[in-house]
Amino acid sequence: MEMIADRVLEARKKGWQDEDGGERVNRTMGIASLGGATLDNEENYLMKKLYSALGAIQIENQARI
Amino acid sequence: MPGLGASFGRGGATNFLEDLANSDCIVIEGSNMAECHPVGFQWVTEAKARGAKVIHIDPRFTRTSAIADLHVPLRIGTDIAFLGGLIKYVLDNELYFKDYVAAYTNAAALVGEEFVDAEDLDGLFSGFDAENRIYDEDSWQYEPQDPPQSGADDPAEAAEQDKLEDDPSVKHSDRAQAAGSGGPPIPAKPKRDETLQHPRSVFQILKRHFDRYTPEMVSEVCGIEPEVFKQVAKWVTSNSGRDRTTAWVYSVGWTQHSVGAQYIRTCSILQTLLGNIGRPGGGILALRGHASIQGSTDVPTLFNLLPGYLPMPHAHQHHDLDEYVADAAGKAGFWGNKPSYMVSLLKAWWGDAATAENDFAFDYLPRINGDHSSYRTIADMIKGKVSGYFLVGENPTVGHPNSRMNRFGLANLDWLVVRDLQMIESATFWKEGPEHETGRCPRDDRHRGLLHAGGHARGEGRHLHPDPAGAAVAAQGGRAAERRPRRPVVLLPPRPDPARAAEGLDGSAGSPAARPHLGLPGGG
Repeated sequence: MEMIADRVLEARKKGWQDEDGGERVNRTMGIASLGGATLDNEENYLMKKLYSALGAIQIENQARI
Repeated sequence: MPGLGASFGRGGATNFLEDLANSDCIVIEGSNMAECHPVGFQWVTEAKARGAKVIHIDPRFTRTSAIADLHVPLRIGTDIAFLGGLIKYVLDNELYFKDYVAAYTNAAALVGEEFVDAEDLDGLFSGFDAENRIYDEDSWQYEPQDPPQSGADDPAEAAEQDKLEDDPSVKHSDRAQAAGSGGPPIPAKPKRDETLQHPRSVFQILKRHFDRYTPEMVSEVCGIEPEVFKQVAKWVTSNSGRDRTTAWVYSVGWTQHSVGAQYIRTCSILQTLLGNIGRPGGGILALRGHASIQGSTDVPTLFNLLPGYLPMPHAHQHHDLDEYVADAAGKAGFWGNKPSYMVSLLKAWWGDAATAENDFAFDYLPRINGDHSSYRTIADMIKGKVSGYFLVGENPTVGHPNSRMNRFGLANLDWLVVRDLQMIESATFWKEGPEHETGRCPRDDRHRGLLHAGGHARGEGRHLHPDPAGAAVAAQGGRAAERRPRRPVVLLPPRPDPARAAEGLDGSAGSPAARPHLGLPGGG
């Protein structure tokens, strides 16, 4: 878990954007997530909260695929 | 889900599977639930054991029909007539839940004088643009209660919103889906007639619109005996009202029709008249393709939505909370309360850090400004823009369209975390590295970790693909298969374990051939 946390922080920093095209975006493009159809509501909630709080936006699910 | 979005403000099922156990009558229409959703069907069985009626309406006789109290083999594609007939039956016999309809629906609202129903225009509603074959919805609006008063109806601001919606980057953010989920905007609170007798009330328009769906007409169109229709009508209406509820369940037998949205919308009208929405055992339940797709949309792991169908803040539109909720001001309907929903979410997420003084920490949220969906992200991985990826119960290297593209993307990551019940190809396709031939671990910054579901970190993985070329080879399915080692990969435990080390189980000793099988599919 610590190994993952280290790499998440590093990737977050590497992909960080304060602005894009002159507009404030306040995000990281370095981390992405894809969840499957077996994720329950609670897992979805925590994942969206955690990744959004980290600034990640590329959070996706089988629901679109 | 425009049928549900237009009816309830959100494009999602109004109830959940377990709630079917509370139903007094369950109508399964356009679905073979017993075979295709067998786990959820246990709640139908439970309701039936309590004495609930189960009706299966479907052209095919399936195992769902076999378990049902009544199977109605209607002619394929005639669900609008069948549901329309039920609506007329409910209205003619005054079997609707009067208090509920008056208090919780738009039945009392008055529609403007410009509206003309399809009955009077030879099948078309007012506002049809024959050249472009679309409707202009201006004539469908409610008669507003009061002159507009709030700043939200400031024409300049409205024009600004419209202009922004046409901005390509906003369009690419999939606003259409968010709008479809939310239903049509309702600009102001409508005038009402609580007696439901005004000829321009929604209730009276509904009555006139569904007048043609007589039992005889339904029987002829649907190809079923009038007695069968009456039996359904009796069971449904006698199991709806103050003390009882009926649930409607559908799946691809409705959604895959070109008029599927109309089926769902018609059913929404029927269930609302009967007072079956928002109460235990009532509702409209869309059975979706996978176990929790509905939950993954309601509480979304989707780039363009926040929980409860709130849109993700957009960089061009939403610089602060006021701008984010501006489109809701002065509106009626579900989305009129958007500011409350958003503040609740921010408080839930940020706790005490969210205060009125700091805009409830709205600015903590990242902003989108385009398409950030799965395939866009894979393309960005190929370009080297994404460092790390979490895969949680998804197997894109074999399970998604263009799996080769997915492998090229994944192979280009610095790290990949796979959490799954099984060792899946999206984790194993990386194992075709030379270290499996030599048993050595070349130093490299690529890592694979597999988290078994339940959160146990079983291993931190091997170092893989010492160079990008190796990764590219692994990403080509055919060649990778030829190079697949004869022994499975052994995952290292997170911490050295002396007992395991003595047996060479921690990967510190021996060649791959000496390693035991750790529940991975055999290589070859």
